[in-house]
Amino acid sequence: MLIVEAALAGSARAQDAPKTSSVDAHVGLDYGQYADTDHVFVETPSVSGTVSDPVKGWSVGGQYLVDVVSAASVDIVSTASRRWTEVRQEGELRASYKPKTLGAQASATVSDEPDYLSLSAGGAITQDLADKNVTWLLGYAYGHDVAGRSGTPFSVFSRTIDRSAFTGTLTLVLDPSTIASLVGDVILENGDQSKPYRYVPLFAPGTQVPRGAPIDLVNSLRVSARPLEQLPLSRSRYALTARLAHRYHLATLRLEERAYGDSWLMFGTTTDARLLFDLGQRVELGPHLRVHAQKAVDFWQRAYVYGPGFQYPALRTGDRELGPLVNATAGGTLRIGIGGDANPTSWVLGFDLNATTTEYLDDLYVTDRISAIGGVSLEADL
Amino acid sequence: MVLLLSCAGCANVPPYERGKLAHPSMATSDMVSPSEQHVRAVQEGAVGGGSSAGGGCGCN
Repeated sequence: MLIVEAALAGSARAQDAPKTSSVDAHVGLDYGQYADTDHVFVETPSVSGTVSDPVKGWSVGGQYLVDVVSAASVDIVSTASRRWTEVRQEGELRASYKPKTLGAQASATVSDEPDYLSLSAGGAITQDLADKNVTWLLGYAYGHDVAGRSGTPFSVFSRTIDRSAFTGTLTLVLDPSTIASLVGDVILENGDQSKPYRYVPLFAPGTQVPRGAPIDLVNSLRVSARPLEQLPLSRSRYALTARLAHRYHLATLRLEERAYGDSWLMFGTTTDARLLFDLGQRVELGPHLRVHAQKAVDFWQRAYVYGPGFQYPALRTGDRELGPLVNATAGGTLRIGIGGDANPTSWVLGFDLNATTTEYLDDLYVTDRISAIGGVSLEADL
Repeated sequence: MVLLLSCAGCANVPPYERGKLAHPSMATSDMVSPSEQHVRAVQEGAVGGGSSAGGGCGCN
């Protein structure tokens, strides 16, 4: 309540002051919470800000967020480990300059947690064509990750993963109410991404292990040896995404479709739809639906068996997000303009809530998961 | 996607007719909060189509 009152007082002062330059400032505060039926809980506060001059075409901005993850999932319990809590911090800086039709962008990101450090930097060039009816963008980003074990210095144990990401985007004005964009991504990853905590249960040839087999049954059927996960040492990932936005008199429809494939022979499709209604000048309500379905990677097995001479399978994983699954999400957003009468949306209070049900089609331990993520945000144009 | 590609280049909308396109809800970027973006990165095996913040997903 105090935040809302402070925001209202601040917005009133901002409305009173006459604007003397073309420089805009935008700040945002966001707090999100996630919980699921697999006993994972995440809190994510974040702050972001952008200063820009639309007349001169420059913009600089940044974002800082913290993830506090607390987990006692079935994967942790199955290895007789205790609940753990971990903190991740992420910072991002970005800048762009587009004085006329040709522009450039740059960004850099650092993400740090006790057992994982991720650094990335990238740039892009963009150009408007056909009187700004067509805009293209070509971008490249390089990422370098260091993965280790919590409590062990990287100098004692670590693995590196290098990532090159190429992006191409084409945005088209289709008519006075419709805009569309097509995004192509190619991401090349090199390095061992196997999780050093993830042990994979192993079974004798011919053992029948049902889908969703509980921990006790898996422990009674598996052999005593339990090797660590081993993934391929490189991965090439490809995605093509089409996004369409159409403005009605008092509503906006946003549709998105993504097709995905990679060199581990995972294929997926994601469909996302939002309908944003204007309920007066100050309130926007936006129901949201999202469905994601994917096929498993080619080395996926629900129950890995050992080979002749007790050989481990060369590639093995227990990462459910590499298996076949279907996610369905439903939720929505509510945005309330709390600025002055001259510009009600100069200050916006936002609420969002989404619930996701995941069906794991060929996994041990679980067959489904329900999760919810909610958040509250405050955005201001100063 | 086929619909989008088939429409490419079929309109030339002058600047004075783009009032609706300037509405904040018409932004071409993905309208997702940082926390929701993170959840997607963990729950979906696929990537791409939005801004990327690199690895380090905070999960095991």
